[in-house]
Amino acid sequence: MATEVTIKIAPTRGVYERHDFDEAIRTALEIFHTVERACTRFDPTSPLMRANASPTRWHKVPDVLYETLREASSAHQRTAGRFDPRILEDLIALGYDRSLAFASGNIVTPQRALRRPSGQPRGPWRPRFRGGSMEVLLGEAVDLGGIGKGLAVRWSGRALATHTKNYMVEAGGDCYCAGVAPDAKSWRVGIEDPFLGDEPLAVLSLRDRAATTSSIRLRQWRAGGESVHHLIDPRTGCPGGEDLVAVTVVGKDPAAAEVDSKSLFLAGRQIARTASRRGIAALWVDASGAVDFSTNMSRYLLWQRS
Amino acid sequence: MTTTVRTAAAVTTNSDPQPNLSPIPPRDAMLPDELLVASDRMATNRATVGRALRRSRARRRILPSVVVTSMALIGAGLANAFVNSTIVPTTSTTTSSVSTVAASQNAANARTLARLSAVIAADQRTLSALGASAAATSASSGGGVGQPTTPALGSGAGSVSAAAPVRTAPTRVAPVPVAPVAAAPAPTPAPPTNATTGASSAG
Repeated sequence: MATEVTIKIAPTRGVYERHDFDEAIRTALEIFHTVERACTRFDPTSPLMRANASPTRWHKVPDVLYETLREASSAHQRTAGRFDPRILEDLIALGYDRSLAFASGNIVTPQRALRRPSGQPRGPWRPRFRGGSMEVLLGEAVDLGGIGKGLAVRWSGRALATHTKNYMVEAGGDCYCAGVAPDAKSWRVGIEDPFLGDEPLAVLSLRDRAATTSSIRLRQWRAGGESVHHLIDPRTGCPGGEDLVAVTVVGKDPAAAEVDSKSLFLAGRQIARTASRRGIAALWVDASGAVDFSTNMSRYLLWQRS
Repeated sequence: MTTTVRTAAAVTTNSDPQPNLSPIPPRDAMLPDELLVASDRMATNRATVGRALRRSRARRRILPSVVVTSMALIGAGLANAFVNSTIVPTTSTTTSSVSTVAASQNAANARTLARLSAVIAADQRTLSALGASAAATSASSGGGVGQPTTPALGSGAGSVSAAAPVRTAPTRVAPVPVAPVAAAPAPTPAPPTNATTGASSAG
């Protein structure tokens, strides 16, 4: 996932006993490492990449990868294919076949030919599962980066929940806020300005809610002379989202919110209608810097930059 | 099954009808004039009292509802004010209120500017008239440009000239009501946050 993980705990008793939570924090962080090891596509020896190497064969995989693939398949169906982990092929064609140092800027990659003509829609993804033996048959190679991060936040949150009601887990733009913050109020989550403004675009007030952001501010580069980013529209195989720059979604579950923010981003100019139709609490920013949000998001908005 | 309904009409008859207890006997009775006058007065009083009673009854019926309605309206106004004062200050709300205030301020400023423009135009006309008068005076006195325009008094070099007094319109500027311009509310700083979601690391 190549991201920083932050865990905050608000004591529920009068006195904070750090050792009460050390074990919970260690467990939560270990979950991130486990998901990373099982689901990374940047390590050719990872269980995912071994399954990707021969996707038409059955593979016995670790529990974490098995569950992640099941969640990805479920999200693919729920979003009618708008979330599709098979965009791995398109990312590789754009030169994103290894961990790129996006923070340094000026990334240039050669563009490779796609195995399928660009713009040709795929059929639905139908992986197969054998629950008893933890075996999967992918059908096609997949990328689990986004949903893997959301699931790691979900699972680490559950590990923390056995010790405390009030905690916050944040990893690479995805966070889950349980209970209340140390000041006994709801957790306050700032939405970063994709144009690098000093102050956030908005501040959310969250309690038992997740917030995730899909943004192209960081992960964009030049491939074959064209400016591209990593949010691929599975319908076209090309970077999508039209003129959107970032979409933030609030929901009950971090993995579901991650899927929703990505699929809403790919809705492009139809985002308002799509978010309204699906009842998603979303806030988005377009290339002109204009900020808008769905009706359901207004209940979480504590502050918005004027 | 047939159901028979029996209806019994209860008829009450007054077996002992009360005698007519009215103190006013029928008119056709032979009565003295004083009694007839008294009877008329009583009838008039009764009619007056009846009208007054009807009016007060109507007042009792209508006034409470009017009072209640006005109280409800006042209550609604207070409720609106209360609700407005406790709306979560999102940008859209703030923007709309600011734009409303700004629009009213702009309108007031525009009116003020229009009045000032009219006053300035009047002043300019006055100055032009003064200038023309001075020029005429200079021409008549033979002075060139830049000669003093003050009428020369007393005897001069053989001729006495007196400039016609120029009557100018009063240039006192009427006080222009200026709407108090409220300063635009300073943007509220972002509250401190516990976490961040967004562009720097989002996938």
